Amino acid sequence: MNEWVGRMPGSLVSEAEDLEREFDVRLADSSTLAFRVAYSVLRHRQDAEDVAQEAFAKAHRSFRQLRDRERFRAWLVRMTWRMALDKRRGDVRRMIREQAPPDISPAPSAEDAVIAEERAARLWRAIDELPEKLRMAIVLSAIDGHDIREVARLTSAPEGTVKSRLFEARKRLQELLSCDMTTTR
Amino acid sequence: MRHDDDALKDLEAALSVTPSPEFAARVRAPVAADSRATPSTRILWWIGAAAAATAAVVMAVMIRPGARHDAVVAAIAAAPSVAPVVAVPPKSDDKSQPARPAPVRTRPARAPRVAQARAESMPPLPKALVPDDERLALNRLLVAVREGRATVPAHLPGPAVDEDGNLLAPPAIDIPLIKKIEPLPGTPVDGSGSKDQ
Repeated sequence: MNEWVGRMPGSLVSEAEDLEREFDVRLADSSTLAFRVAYSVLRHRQDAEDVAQEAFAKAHRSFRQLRDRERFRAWLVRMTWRMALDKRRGDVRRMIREQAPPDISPAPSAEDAVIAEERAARLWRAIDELPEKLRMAIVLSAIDGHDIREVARLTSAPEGTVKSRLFEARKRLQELLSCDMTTTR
Repeated sequence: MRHDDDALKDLEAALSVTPSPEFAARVRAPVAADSRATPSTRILWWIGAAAAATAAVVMAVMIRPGARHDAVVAAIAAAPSVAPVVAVPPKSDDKSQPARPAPVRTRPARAPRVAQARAESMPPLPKALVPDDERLALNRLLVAVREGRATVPAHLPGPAVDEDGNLLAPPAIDIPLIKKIEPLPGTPVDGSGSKDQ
């Protein structure tokens, strides 16, 4: 009887309310993660918020299939990453931002600020040179201190694969930064 | 030369940005608007799906093979004043008797609600004696009569039989002799004045 009542259209409202409550929990749990993933690609706060907001709207439409927390976070990370890449490729404002310094925390003094800006610009240039899978792995490992297991969950990849990707990414990043240092000197 | 760990620390510091305080509200606004429309949409979807399923079932019943024939049989059985004609085969051992036409049996009129049940329990018609096309045509005629689209004379002349049911010889047909018609005056007898010649 309860099963029959549960299938009635009237119970859809209560089911929808349960879904909304779960989505609110996921939103509070993963909003910063989505924003930081978008920021790692776009390096612009407003654009990152726009992309994360759009990703959450898409996640809400498909939330019935994404009720599991880990599955939701992995889906959200991949969706946000993809949408941020699409926005970065098609955004005209990127040309303006490339001339302006990246959006980073200001340093105490003017000299320190200049040094920090140069260092951050070199770092992002090197990260942009990495292949996408290596870039995603090292960025996710740098967000919220994710370990290999968490990065593997977010990327839906085996832990061994993530471990090798992180090793390769750090190696290439070191090479790129060393090369960039020698050319700037 | 910068160390690799320093680069990773710089990356972690660069990605430790936090969204603006309005970000959560901005995300919730379209999600809330979407969720308000979602329950009613789902209920409408359920109603539409139920209506479509009902229509599909009705269509399947309507176009089922034999459904038209069943409807015709039911209509005939429901007709109160229509008497189906049943042909009875002649007895095989009575070879001396000439072939007799089928006798006509009339059934008393029944109430329509009983007729529906009777139609389902009716014995199959003797298909060997009444071909399907003729039976179908007869059924159509009966339905047309019942619906008022066709009229049938109140009394149909039947074969003449005596008291024992033996077939009587039909009365002789009186055919008058053809009288010779005289040609009109002035008409050429040999037809020479005809234009065809």
